[in-house]
Amino acid sequence: MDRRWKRVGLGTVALWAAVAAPVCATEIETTFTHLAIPRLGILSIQGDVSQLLTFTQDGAGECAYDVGSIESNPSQTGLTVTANDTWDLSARLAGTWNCPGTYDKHETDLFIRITNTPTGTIQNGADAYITLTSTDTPILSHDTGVTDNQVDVQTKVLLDWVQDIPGDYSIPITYTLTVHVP
Amino acid sequence: MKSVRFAFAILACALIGLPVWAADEFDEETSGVGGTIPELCQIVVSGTGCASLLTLTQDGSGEVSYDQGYVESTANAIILTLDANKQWQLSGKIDTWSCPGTYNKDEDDLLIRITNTPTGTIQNSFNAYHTLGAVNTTMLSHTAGVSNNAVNVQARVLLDWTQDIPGPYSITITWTMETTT
Repeated sequence: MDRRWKRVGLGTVALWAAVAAPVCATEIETTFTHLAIPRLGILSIQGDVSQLLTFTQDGAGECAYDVGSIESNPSQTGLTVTANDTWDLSARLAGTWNCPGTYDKHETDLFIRITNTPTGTIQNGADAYITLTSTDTPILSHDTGVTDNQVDVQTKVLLDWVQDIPGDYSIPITYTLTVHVP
Repeated sequence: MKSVRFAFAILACALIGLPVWAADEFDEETSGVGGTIPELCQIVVSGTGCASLLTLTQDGSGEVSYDQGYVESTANAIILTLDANKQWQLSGKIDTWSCPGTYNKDEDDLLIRITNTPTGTIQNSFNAYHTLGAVNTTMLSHTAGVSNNAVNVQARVLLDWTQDIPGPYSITITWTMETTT
């Protein structure tokens, strides 16, 4: 008896409330959007140092040998870093020197350095000239994302009158941007 | 049953979806360093030189020089400093004497020699006094590059009481360094 009369009573109250209140309609729908944004990074490079060792006779060539090295302009290689998370920028030699004849120029005759003050922390003293190896050497890192972070790189090659014979020389440098777990 | 499906969905996200956004990202760019080094060499001439070698003093070095038949510079009056990035040779040549009046001093009255032991091979016996001609005479050569290779040169001018009249004298020596094959 009690349960049945309770239901009747509650139903009466509900009906009364519906009649007494203004008519409103509310509809709520929820869409669950799953955004799985991956870590993203873009590294672009500008500038050309492929002819750094192309000298003129009776001028820049002799001067460079006398100085013992040839340098690119401070910003001749421009790297632009964009990333959405913690990132590292590193560099490595992607090969050995290609030299004239049987000459084997030392890979440690090549140096690079960062010449501006980009966003991030310089690694491994790369704001001064450092040598590179065949494995990645971090040169700059940062713990958050960046947009269009300009990194100016200067290149230097040592020269020796006795060792560095005339001819064609080349060596590749690979710059790697890694966006990773903080 | 619903709870089992939900748990499966969560697990699928964990196993499949999570690595997609958690994976490290790499981007690489490569820059070539290089160029073509040409054949290069250079000479720097230093030392006290021989421009005043024939400026003799009266009642002293002048008479002594005529008596011995010549006047000599110091052993390193001319220092040639050589640089080259490959096999090279050094040679010398002269023009003619400028003499007082109509006198024509013999060019063979000038002799030179290399007095030290620089890097390279002495050519045409220039470790002893020899004359130079109007065309290049090779004095020193080497099969590889050199750096700061100092070559000390001494000059001697023959003197004759009966020939060499007083007055100003001069002659130019031209040194040539060239890379060779």
